[in-house]
Amino acid sequence: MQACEQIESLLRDQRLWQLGRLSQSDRPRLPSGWPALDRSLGGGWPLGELTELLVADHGIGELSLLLPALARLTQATQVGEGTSRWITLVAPPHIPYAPALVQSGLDLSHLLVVHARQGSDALWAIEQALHSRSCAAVVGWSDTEEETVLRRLQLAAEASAAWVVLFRSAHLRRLRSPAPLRIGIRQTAGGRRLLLDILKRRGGPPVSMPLPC
Amino acid sequence: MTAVPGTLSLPFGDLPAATDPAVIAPHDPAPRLWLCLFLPDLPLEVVIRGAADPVAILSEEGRQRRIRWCDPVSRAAGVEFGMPVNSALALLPGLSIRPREQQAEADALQRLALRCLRLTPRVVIDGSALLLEVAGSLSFFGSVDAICEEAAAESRALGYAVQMSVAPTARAALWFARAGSMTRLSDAAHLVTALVPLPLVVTGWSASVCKLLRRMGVRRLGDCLRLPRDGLARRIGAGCLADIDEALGRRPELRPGWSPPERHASSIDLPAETREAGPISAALDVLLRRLEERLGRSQEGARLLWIHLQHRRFPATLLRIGLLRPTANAAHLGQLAAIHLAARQVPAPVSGLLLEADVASLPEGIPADFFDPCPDHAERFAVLVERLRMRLGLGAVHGLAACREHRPERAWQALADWPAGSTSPAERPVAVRARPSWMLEEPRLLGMRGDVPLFRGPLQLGAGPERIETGWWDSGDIRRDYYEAWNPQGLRLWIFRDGRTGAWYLHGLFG
Repeated sequence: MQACEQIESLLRDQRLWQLGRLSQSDRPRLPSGWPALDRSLGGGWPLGELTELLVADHGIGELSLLLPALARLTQATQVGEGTSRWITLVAPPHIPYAPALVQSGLDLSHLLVVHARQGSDALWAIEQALHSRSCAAVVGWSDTEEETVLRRLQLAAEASAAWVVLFRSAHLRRLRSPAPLRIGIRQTAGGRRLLLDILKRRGGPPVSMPLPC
Repeated sequence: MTAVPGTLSLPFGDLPAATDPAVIAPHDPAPRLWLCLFLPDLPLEVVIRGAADPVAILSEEGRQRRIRWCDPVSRAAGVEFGMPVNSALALLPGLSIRPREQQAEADALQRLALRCLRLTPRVVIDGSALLLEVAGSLSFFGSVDAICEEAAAESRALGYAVQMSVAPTARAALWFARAGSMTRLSDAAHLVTALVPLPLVVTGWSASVCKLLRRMGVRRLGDCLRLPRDGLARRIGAGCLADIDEALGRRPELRPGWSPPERHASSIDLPAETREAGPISAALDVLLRRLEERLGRSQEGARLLWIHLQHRRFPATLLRIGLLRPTANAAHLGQLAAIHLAARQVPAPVSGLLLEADVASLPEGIPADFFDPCPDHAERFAVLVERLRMRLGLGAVHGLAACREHRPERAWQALADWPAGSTSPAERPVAVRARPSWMLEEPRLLGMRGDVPLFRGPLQLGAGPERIETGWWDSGDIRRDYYEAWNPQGLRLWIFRDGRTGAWYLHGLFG
């Protein structure tokens, strides 16, 4: 009888992952705005850890994947009083076009754009943004291949409780990464729809899923 | 020379207190209590810092160069007050003889005055002494002795020897302190009795007046008080008489209160010229701590910093640090300064540092580092923006705004002065059709295969055309037909055909 109770309590322990069940981590989640994706991610984008998105090319709809959640973060009515609403974009590949962001519902007054001359500056800026513990989300673009750098970002993300997204090139998907969530983004064969390859996630096997776009 | 109190009231007691009745205050309802901190060895103390040799300071008065202040080592060797320089050098050949450093003394007094602001808001600087009006602080600190203890601690913390006294009038307190008597007098009725035995030196009157009085047989204040008033006024002048009246509380004292200057400046000399970051940042740290102390006491923050790196033979290298919000946090300022220092090439070894700061009141009423160096997100975010700009440059860190403008490249704006305008609501853009989330810096000319534009393969046109034709009134005249388009890899593009040349351009990507 006592053994059963012990096993039950063990099963309730969040650190223990049961095969076939998505872990309901106690880390807060940010609804992504895509119900299917939310189900695969255990409630939404994970906060306080590094999310790595691998894209073959800019312009396949990778930003529209994030925009519903980003818009939600900047809206005062959606987040509680005293919560940070700042979003920092670090080293975007092109000009983030303000009219499009407004169309997606983003409040531009809480958006900061940081351009970096070189890759190391971008990583430094992301790390600074996380260390300042003042951003609700940090979205960065970097093609670094160094695992130690990513590990630093993951540690900084854990200390920050922010939504941290790093875009990298799709050819880096074979490299090891400390990011707990890695998603490859590509177009479906016929185009016009996004295909998400969830390469790695907490408490779940890899899975591929199309996303209406 | 013991004065008899009973005989004193004759001339001064019967005469009207001051010549001009207009300046006689009606009896002051609130009794005053002045605490005087006199720093007898200040000229020596500001010079002696870091000096290895015995030091003596010259007197400024008289033609012959004489010793005015000397440190314990030289005193032990027999050097004393008033000794000619040559005699002192004969006694102690290694003696280093310096002139007074008035500026350093004034700085030292200001720093002590700043510290004393926590004891009372009313602080007056008089020569080498500070006068604190402490009647209002009594109930807070409990007793005069407690306040004296606090004041002594502040002076000790800066390393200055101090003589203190308390009296109902500022001038009497000053005189007691100069005499070195530890007087603690709060009752004005006993002022006369207490002042009588003081030597004339304490008054600080000119040498000629003191000499004249000495010749008249006057050696102490009590002797002075016994003389007929108008006769005395004729001989030594009305000013000296007014001093006595002030000391006795028979004439109101008009002393402008000291308040911390709005521009903070403090400097430090490096022990040796250097280019190395270590000693420079250590010295800077000292200056920033002084700044923090000064800001913390007046509950203000620095808005603009100038760091002058001084060189022997070159003009100083100037670093300017602007802050989005005033801050009093030395650690934060230190980080910003370190980034600045690392980015700057110094043309020559640095011999000293000067820190200047523009001071502004903090945005909130409470000190910024009450619990947390940066209490709220906005504050921390402002710090982040500053730090990013330090390294990446002002233009590399900006906000975004949408503008009411049809031309796509003018429908957005980078806000370099962010977050100054962050509170204004975003303007709704005029575009009704979908806009791409990425825009290229410049429209890129597309290759053609027949009539079909190419971007890594032939493009398939989607929604469009959307004609944008505007700007004839300024130089940015455009006529374009915009389309959405798909390329073979599935990229969704925003392209246009120029209405005048017929060429196709890529302008954006639907990221």
